[in-house]
Amino acid sequence: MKKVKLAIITTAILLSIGGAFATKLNQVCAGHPQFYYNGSGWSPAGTMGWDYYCQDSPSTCTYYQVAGGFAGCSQGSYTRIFHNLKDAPAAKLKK
Amino acid sequence: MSRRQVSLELISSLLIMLFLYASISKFLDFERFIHEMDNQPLPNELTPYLVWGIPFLEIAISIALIFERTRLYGFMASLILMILFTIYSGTILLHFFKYVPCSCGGVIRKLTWRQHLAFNLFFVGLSVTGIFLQRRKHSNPIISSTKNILV
Repeated sequence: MKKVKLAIITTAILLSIGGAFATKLNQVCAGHPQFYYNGSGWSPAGTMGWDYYCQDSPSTCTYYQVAGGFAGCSQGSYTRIFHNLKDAPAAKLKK
Repeated sequence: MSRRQVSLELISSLLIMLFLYASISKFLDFERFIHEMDNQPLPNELTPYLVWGIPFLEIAISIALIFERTRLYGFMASLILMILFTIYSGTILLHFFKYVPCSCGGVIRKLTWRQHLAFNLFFVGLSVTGIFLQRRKHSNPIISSTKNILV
C-alpha cells in the first residue's frame, strides 16, 4: 500500500514541477520586448502588470518582433494601466 | 488498498499538483508575479506579504497533504485558501472592484475569470471530499486498522 501511495505522490510532485518548467519554456516569446497595435502602428507595450494588462478577450493582446514582422504572443485585449488619474484618457477629455 | 484510500490519495495528489504547480510557476516568473499582484485591486502595501505568503502557503499545504499525520490540516487549509480564491473570483465577476485585473499563474493565467471560478469551485469540492473521507477514516480506527491487517 505504501508503495502505491509513494508512486501516486511522486508522480504528482514530478508532474507539477515538470509542468511549471514546461510552461515557463513555452512562454519564450514573453522574454522578448512586447508591442501592441495602436490602430495605426506598433508601439512598445511596456511591462506586463505594471504598464498594461491583457483583459479577457479572444483577440491578441501583445506581439513580439520576428524576422519580417510581428507575431502574436499573449491573448486578450490590451489595456493600459494609469497609475496617475490625471494621465487617464477620461480625465484628459474632461479638461 | 481500499477504494476510500485510493480516493484520498488521488484527491491529495490533485491538490498537491495544483498548489506545487502554482507556487513554482510564481517563483519561476517572480518579477511578473509582483507586477501582476500590484495590478490586483488590493492595497499595494499588501504586495510584499502576498507575493511571499501565497507561494509559501501553497508549498506548506502541499507538504501537509503528503503525510498522513498532517493530511487533514492540509485539506482544511486548502479548503480555506480555495474558498478565499473563489470569493475573490466571484467579487471580480460581480464587478465589485473598479476594473477587472489579469487572472494569473502559469497555465491558469489563460483561464477567464468565469473559468477561474468553476476551477476554484471544483477544488473546493475536492477539499471538502478530502476532509470528509479523512475524518471518516480516523473516526473508525478499529475498522481501518483491522482492514489494514486483512489487506
